[in-house]
This record gives sequence, C-alpha cells and structure tokens, in this order.
Amino acid sequence: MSHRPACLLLVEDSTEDEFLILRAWRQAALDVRITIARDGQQALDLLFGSCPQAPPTEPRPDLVVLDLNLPRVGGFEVLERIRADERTALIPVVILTSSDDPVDCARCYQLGANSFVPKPVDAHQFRDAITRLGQYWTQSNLPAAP
Amino acid sequence: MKPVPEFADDAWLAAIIDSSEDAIISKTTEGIVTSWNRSAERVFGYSAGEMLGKPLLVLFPPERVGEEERILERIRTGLRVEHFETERVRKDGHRILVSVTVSPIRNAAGQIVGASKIARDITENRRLQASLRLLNAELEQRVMDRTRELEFANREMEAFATAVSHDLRAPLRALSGFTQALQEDFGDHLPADASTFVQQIATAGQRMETLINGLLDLSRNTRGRLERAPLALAALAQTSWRTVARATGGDLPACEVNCPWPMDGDPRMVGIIFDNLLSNAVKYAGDLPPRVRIYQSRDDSQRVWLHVHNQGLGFDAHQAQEMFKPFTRVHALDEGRRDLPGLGLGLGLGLATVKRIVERHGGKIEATGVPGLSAELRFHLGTGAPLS
Repeated sequence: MSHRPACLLLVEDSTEDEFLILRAWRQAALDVRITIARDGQQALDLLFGSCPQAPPTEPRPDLVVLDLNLPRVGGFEVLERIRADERTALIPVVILTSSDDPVDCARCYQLGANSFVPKPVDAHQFRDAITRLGQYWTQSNLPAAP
Repeated sequence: MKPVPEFADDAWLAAIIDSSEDAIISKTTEGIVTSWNRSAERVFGYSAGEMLGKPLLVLFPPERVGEEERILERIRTGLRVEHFETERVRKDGHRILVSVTVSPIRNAAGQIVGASKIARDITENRRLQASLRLLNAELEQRVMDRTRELEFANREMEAFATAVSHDLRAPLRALSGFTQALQEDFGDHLPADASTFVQQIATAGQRMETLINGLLDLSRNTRGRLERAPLALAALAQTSWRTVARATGGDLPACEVNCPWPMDGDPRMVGIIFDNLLSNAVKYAGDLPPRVRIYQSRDDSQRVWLHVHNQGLGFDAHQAQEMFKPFTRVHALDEGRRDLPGLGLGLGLGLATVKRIVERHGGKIEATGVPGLSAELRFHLGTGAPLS
C-alpha cells in the first residue's frame, strides 16, 4: 500500500450525507485525504482542471466515490467521462447512491463502475457500509499502477 | 310431392311475384321490359306503366351502360348472372346499390326469349355495414388510445412512486444518522426524557423506512419482465417459512405443503407471495400457534389454485374484500397482531403486493376467513396445469 494517505474524491450534493460519510470515516480512523465536489460539473473540473478556481486535484484521486443524482452534471455522465479519458480511466469509481434499483446498478457497471453501494437508510447500517467501503478501497484494494 | 293445381296457375304465380320484397322484372333479350312487379316500383320509383315496353337501360347510370350489353350477352348464351352488386338510378335521380340476379327465360321449345331479373336494394344494408365498420374502427382506435393512456399513466405512476420513495430516503437517512450522532455524541448529557424522545424519533424513522421499502417493492413488482418457469412450490414455500422462522427468532411448527400439481410462474415473484402470506400467518396467529397448511385444488375449468391456510385471528367477509388495498390493515396491535420487526411492521402493503404479483401473472386471488379461528388465501397464476 502507498505510504501517503489515499486521496479520495467524494462527489456528494447532500451536506447531511457528506457529514455522515465523513463522520463514519473519521470514527474508523481512515487515513485519507478527502476532496469534496458538490455536483457533477465540479467533479469534472477537479478531475480535468477546467475550473478556474480550482486546479486539478494533484495527485489525481486514488478513488472517486460518486453519487448518481447530482445537480448540473449527473453521476452517470461523470462516470462516462472518467472512463473515457485515459488520464482517469483506471481510477476506481464507487457509486454511492440512494438508489437500489437494479436498472441503475446494471447501467453503472456497464459504464465501468467498480462498485455499486446503495446508501442504507438505517444509521447503523449506513455507518457500517461507509466504513467497509472506505477501508476496502483505501486499505485492502491496490490501485492500478500509475 | 305433386303441385296442387290451384296453387300453380298464372294468377297465383303473379300474386307471389307481386308480393315479393325484391324487384322482379322480365325483359327481352334486347333489354326491353316485359314485366315489372310492385317492389320494382318501390325500389326504382317507376310504375309498371312507365316501364313496360321501355329499355331497362333507363335505370343504368351513364358510366355503367356497358353492363347491360354484357348481361344480355351472357343471357343469350344461356348463362346466369348471380348476386351481381352494382349501382342503378331511381326515377328521382338518386343512386341506389342493388344486388342483381339475372336468369334466361326459355319458351316451351327451350329457346331463350328473355331474362328475369331479381334486384334487391342493398343501399341501406351497405350503409349499415359501412357504419358498423366505421364504429368498429372508432372503437378499436378508442381502445388503443385508452390503453396507451393507461400504460402511460401507469408508467408515470410507477416512476412517481419510485422517485418519491428514493427522494424520501435521503431526508430519512439524515434523520436516522443525526439521531444516532446525537445519541452517541451527547447521549450522556441528555435528560432521561430527552433520550426517550430521541429514541422515539429513531423508531419513527425505522417505521418510515419500512413503509418506503414496502412502497418500492409494490412499485417494482409491477415493472420488469415476468419470466414464467415451472415452480418448485414446496421448495419456495419452505424457504419462505425458514426465513419467517429466523426472523421471529422462535421455533415454528412445520409448514405442511402438499402441492402435487405443477404451476408456472415467475419464481422470484412467487417467492415474494410466499414471504408475505407466511409472515402474515405468523403475525396474525393471535394466541394460537402459527399452524400453516399449503395445498392445491382444481376448479371446474381445471385451473390449479394454491391455498395458504392458517389458524389465527382470521377475518370476516367485508375485511376479506378490503385487505388487498394498499395501507389496509385488518387487525390493530391491540387485537393480537404481533409486530415482529424481522417480518416488517405490518404497514398494509404486503397483500397489495401479493395481489399485484398475482394479477401480473393473469391470475386471481381470493380470501376467506373465520374471525378468531382461521384465514385462507387462495390464488391461481393464470395458467391451468395440464391434466395428467
């Protein structure tokens, strides 16, 4: 595993969910550096550097945690753009969404998502899911070689 | 049989011809009218006096005058013209549709001396047929339009239910998550009453989650493809029964399954039917042990019905009608209904889901019960098993 903390881009428009996700990772003492994007466009700007206020995240994230239902540019499109660009094509993308619709799930995998995690409503289940997600993708899973 | 002489004389034959509903006309092989009955007057508007000795061509519309020569040509060669549908012109100038049969008339020596023509006015008949065709087409179009509208409305409703259910989950997750955070981070500083209130918020949140999940299930079971396959009924029922037993955490009596006749259906959906019916059997067992018997019967048309019978709180005939509507609960908690968290909270969506699944199969579900004693639900899935 890399010696530096894993860089993670969290694309999440809900401030409540963001709070609960960050709290779960904090409680799990996850060694991560987190950048937040509030919508799909902001995520693309952060990844590809088209945003004047924010240069592209450097280094590029080791993991993108992506909601589907996002303002401006939706999660499906963000996923497509990540996979279409060779600079980001190998970054693992975990879909973290309110949807547990099999149609959404299938579409995400077709578009190249690495994982599809429905957000549980129950607080305990939510924290467990978020913790496991964070631990697996930042500690257990080896990213693709740069 | 021999003809009775007085019924065979000319006057008698003339009377028959005159009283006929059809126009009966005779003409020479050159097309000159030689007889004209009363119905011919009615159909064409000309009296016998006006037509006798005149060419029949006066009845022909200009573009059809050639027809007369072709008809006469056939007659002269001894052939008939049968049920020929064409157009003629009445005295008042109106065109009418007629069905015409023309036959040669022979003299005693067998020579063709003329033709008899029987014409029936089919204008009204054709008009009615056309109206009927038009009405049928309109009806078909209306049915198609209405079906399209209903399909659209259904799709809209499903999309709405799904969207609402998804959108409701986000604030609920926040409610649940922040309640947990409050309990964990400040629980020690909260007065006892406040802790109780927080717990009540958490419980209400859980209840709402169950409700939303139920709505999503209800909505999903009307979407997606239904894939029929032979059902392993005993295995499906026992799997559901084991799930129910695990969820209740207690020992349940064995579930008796006797299903010798094959049934087809979507196995996943039929599994949901068993999940709902069997968990109801436990929830509504009252003080009695939840004893469940699953068996089959055949109706007059050899359709196989599956029965799920259990002892328990039961229901009356009125409740049996109402219980399939969403959010309808037959029994309240104080009537002995058990809320077993592992089985869902009894929000009145289970039987609505079951009914929708059965109806998606083209089947039917019915309920009969004896209050305080037993309940039975029976359903078929639209296809009868072949007689073995």
